[in-house]
Amino acid sequence: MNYLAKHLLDIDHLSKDYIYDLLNSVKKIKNNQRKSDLKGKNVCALFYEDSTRTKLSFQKAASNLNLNFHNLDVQRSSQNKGESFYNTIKTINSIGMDLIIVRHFSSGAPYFLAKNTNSSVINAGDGSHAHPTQTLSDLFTIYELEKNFEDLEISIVGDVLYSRVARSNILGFLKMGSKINILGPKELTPSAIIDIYESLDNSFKNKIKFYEDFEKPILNSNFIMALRIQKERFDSDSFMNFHTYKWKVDMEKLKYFKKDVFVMHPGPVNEEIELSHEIVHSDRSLISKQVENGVYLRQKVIEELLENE
Amino acid sequence: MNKLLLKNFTIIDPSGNLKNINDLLIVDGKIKELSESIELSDAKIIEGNKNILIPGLIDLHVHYRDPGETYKEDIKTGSMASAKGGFTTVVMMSNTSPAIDNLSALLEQKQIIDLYSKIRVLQTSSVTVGRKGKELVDIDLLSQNGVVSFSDDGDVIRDPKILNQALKLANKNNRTIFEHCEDHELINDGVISDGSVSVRLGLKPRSKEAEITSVKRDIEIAKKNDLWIYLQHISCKESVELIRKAKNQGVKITAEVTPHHLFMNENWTYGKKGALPSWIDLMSYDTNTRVNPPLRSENDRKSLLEAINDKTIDIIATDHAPHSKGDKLDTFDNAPAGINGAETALITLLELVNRNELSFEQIVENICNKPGEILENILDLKIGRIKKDYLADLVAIDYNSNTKINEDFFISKSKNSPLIGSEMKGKIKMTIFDGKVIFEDKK
Repeated sequence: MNYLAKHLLDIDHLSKDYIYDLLNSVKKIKNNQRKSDLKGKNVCALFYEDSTRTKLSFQKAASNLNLNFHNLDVQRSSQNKGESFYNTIKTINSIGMDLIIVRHFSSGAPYFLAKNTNSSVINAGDGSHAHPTQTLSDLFTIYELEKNFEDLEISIVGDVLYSRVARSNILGFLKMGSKINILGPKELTPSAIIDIYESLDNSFKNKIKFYEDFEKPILNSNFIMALRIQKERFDSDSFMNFHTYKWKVDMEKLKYFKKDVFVMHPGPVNEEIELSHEIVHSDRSLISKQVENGVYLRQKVIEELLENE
Repeated sequence: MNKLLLKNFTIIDPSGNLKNINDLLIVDGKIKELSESIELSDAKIIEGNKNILIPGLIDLHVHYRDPGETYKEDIKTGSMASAKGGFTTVVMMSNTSPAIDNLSALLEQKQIIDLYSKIRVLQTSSVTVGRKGKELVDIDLLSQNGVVSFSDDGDVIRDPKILNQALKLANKNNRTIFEHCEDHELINDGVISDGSVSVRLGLKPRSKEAEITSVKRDIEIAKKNDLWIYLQHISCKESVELIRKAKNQGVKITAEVTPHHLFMNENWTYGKKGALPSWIDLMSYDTNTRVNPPLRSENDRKSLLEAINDKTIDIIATDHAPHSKGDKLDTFDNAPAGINGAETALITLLELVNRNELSFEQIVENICNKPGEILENILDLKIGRIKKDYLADLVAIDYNSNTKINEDFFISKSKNSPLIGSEMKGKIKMTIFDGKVIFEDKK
């Protein structure tokens, strides 16, 4: 599809051409070449999970667009009085919002919301399913470095099974023509991913490879994207042991990679588990760029959804 | 004498030799005569126009939510829905609120059934008090007072000693335990089969291992003490293989499958009637497809059809599980599990005949003859066959018409069916219970 339509729930409906157009517009916003004013429009943040960067990033983006930003404090809302998600949606709908930005612990919740509201909806992360603005912003961070996606090999390291960032990013990189290595504990890197993504598009065939260790082919990667290990899972799943997690990327490991390799992470980082402190704050790290670019990307997405109305 | 003459039907019942039989005479609620042609002047006549006539369907697995959750369904609406679906006898599970686990609750339930049910509604008792898995109910007493069998359906019986003891006592009373085979620990709050759909949608997988593990354990228990066990809603290939092997060794197992597991696979979760979407849209995460055990892969579905073919599976039962619109209006993992199946079961099975995946004879065998045989053994009921002196429970089907399933189709209080929007081959024209027409599609 060549437009965002009414909602941004994942990136699976977006074409490569459209994504390029979007990234070019974000570049213009970042370089102060264009500015929109959406004064008078109302945006509601509905976050059922904790968030620092995503929520603040949306808030800053909304503020750059002169929007009225309403934050519903879910922890102190009628949810505690037993109100169902459906009835909360209907309440917000009656109050009237142009856009709802939702983060929810249940996969698919933004789809349920979109189906039952008149507002536009942006998925700011749902369960283990998708995180489209993170992906588009990560694509921008790479695009900004003037890299050609089709020449890139990207290694995604860690908990792929439970990661919404992984699902959306794998799809994003595949759409742009990059190769993907998936590296991590077998239990967290389900091979079903290959069948799922390869069945979506012929051009995705043979683009994903799995590794259990930092083997040679991986050392050619242009980007290493580490994923957050969900600490809470270490208690419940006996196959993982916090202390023996061996997929940490540190300066020592980085030596074996290409000199110009970059390290990314969607945040928040568990330092010394996924990445060493040194790496996070090194010149190979794009983490602060990712956060910075997130604001511009979100600004563009909000603008497009509200201007399409 | 009350005489009803059914003329010019195509009668299907593999349990008898009914070649060239077109006419059937009912006298006082019983099948009196079967013949190529019966002429009578003092009987009410129903003209069949070559429509198919099969025995009234028997559903060994329904949830009418009565008592406790009658906003979803009750005995009256549930039995009406079943009658419309061609069922004349049903067995209610005991996971109501409160559970049916003692004599006074059972007797009270019987009174409600007598007052409100349109068909033969039978009751199971839970196996353990309050379905808590700890203390056995009074199996002897409840058996003497007419419960069909015992089930903690919704949950597996976790303690193997309790299951063993329950089976012994139930078998002594010519009854069994209807076991919900999903290991509690291995379910791990999963909501969808572990496979590509769960990975793509990011939904928590409900492991096949949960079913396989408890099927394995239950077979061992039955085998060890030569006990008869009934395994409910088998959903995957590995379970089928375990049961097939055990049956070959002479283990006494009755195995059940639902029409939804025979008809749908996990891809239905995408909300596109089994088709794979190129991108996830608002139809996806269809909460009406959420069911326990979950819809499985296409490979599993095929293995269930094979299991019917080689008689590894004996029974088709609906697991009719009504949930209100409000209950299902939620995120996938928060919506309750269950599919509304009473009215659609036979229609989906007829569509499987249309697709050459089942035969009419297999339907009758698995949803009339065999459950009838079980109830005949337990309660001495003569049902489930078209045979002289059997009760006149019958269903007429017009196989040349289609059935459209939309929300208005349902007379159940709930409409939680992923089949809404489908059109299928075959139409249920008439249900006769005890010699009386209790449902008729006049359109």
